Amino acid sequence: MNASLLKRQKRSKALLSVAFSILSVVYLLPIVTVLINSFKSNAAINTDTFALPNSETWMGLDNYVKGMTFGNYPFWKSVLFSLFITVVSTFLILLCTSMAAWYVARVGTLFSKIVYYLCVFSMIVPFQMVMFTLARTSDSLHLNTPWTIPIVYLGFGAGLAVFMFSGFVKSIPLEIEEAAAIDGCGPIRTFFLVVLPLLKPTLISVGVLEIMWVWNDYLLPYLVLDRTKYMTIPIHIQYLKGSYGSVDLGATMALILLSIVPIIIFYLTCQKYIVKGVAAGAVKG
Amino acid sequence: MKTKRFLPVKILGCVAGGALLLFGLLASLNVFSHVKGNATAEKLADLFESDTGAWVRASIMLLGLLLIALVLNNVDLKAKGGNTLNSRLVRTPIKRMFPLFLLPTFAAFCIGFLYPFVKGLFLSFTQFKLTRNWEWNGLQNYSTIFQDKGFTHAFWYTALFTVASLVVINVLAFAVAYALTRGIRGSNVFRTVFFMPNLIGGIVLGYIWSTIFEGILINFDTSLVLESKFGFWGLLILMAWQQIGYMMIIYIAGIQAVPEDIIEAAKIDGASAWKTLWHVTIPNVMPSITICTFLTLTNSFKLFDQNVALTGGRPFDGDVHTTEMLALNIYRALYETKKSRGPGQAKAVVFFVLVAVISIVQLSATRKKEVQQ
Repeated sequence: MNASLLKRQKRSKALLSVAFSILSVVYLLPIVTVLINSFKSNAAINTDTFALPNSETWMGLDNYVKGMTFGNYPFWKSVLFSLFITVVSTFLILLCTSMAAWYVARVGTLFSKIVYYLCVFSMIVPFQMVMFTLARTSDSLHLNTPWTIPIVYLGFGAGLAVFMFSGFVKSIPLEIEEAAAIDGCGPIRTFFLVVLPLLKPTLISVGVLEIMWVWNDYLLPYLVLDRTKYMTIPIHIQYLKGSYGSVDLGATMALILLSIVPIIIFYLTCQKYIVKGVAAGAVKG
Repeated sequence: MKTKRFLPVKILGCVAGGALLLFGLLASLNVFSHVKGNATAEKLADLFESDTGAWVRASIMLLGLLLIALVLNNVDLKAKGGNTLNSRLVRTPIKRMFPLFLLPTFAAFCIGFLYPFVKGLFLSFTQFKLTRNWEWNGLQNYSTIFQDKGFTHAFWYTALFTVASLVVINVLAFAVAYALTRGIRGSNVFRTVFFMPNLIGGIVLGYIWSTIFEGILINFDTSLVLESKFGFWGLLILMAWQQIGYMMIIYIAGIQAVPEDIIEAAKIDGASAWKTLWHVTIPNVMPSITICTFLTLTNSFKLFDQNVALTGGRPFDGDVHTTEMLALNIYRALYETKKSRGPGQAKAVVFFVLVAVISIVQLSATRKKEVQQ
């Protein structure tokens, strides 16, 4: 009786495994479709989207070569701008907001309370509420270049980050910092040598969330940046696909694939941290 | 006792800071240019309201805020429960580091959020094309937007889509998470695969799926942008594909946190697998359910990139863009209008109020159902 139950359980588990294997393959099909189509001619993409390229429709790497300079803007420039903005913004947000959150959580004055509640408030404000005035403001303050846009990201993203960090700081026992103070550490050394290492799990989860946000963000850089000079990857792809009559599907497919590859590599190498960060970030946020 | 010290200085600081802040704000909103026939106001307008004076105005406002901040920063609040916040050793030295620790973030926060928010709120009561040339309009904008057919359609369309995606994504994500925590072979690989679409941005996702849908629909001699029902289901499939992985991760964390012994106790008491799931597991993962419903709700409600890239609101029916969601409608009202942008900004304020209400109601409603531990 018990043995047959076990056997049945084993069978149903194996069945589930098979079902999920099939589902996983289906799940990857959209990306595979892009991969296939990036090697095909434009006409074939339109009519036979799901067919493998044959000798007639095979374009080799032509689409990729064409894509690099397609749309009067070199693609590598967009990639570099995206990379720069993401790295600097994330670094700036992590550094500044963790310091601010520690201050807010430890000092407990009327002002730090106000800042904390303003941060919580900013989390429920959608971007559309501030987008027009934010774009105008950053324009007139000359924050509209890739070198200065991290400040805008810091300002708009501060709410969530401060909230998450201060939630964690409150759980750090005060005695550790008191011990550091007795041993002669000033606030700066206490923060960088004692508190920041303790914050590492939160740093990772906030970092992951910020990287995912900034790298994929379309509307904020689109409105803030001077588009004639600077583009990021999402803006570039929207520019190719969204406007101006003649769309080169093959080149667009190639660029879409090129823009996904770094994300997938980043994901596969840091998967452990990303998954952990998402789970932790969601539970706290 | 300490708060009473230097009281006159504090009050003076607050008043001076408030005056500076107010002055900067008035100059930024170009109020002085709007005062007619006053020599002082004209002079002030010339001095402070030029296009190039943005940093001057920003500095005046930040200085005013800084003064107020310094005063308020010396008002200590009594710590609730215990003396954690009263540790002189930690608290006082940190407080002196205000300019280093809090000021940069606070200044950026003012530029990136606080000021645009206040100005946006103000402009929603005016007619404007460029922010400096506004005309006070009272509540007119708010009454016009509710007669705007495109806006009301976008509202109902967004509401419908939000409910549909909320149900679909959460049910599927929970089912997948439940199955993947049964200890089946290859769980980790499946997890990796399901989460992956999350890292791809909305614009790129939209174009990937529009290629696929067009590839399918061309066999039926139709197109994604020809019928609004295709746009709706297409967007739903896209969002499910993207979001299931994310919600799955949160559900897995929740399910794994359910204590083993209560599941075992239920089994010993003779509960079937279904009953264990319904009466033991689900009540215990209520926090995860709260988070996931909250996330899917706001994600779908605020959706923009995917909407733009997949259909861009097409097909059009006169002024009504049939597959357009609220965020896109607001964007068009602000950036693609030949008339005043006032109604667009008013739409944005209404949108903000809706999102805020949803967030608050939803959180407080589900929090009550959580299991106390």
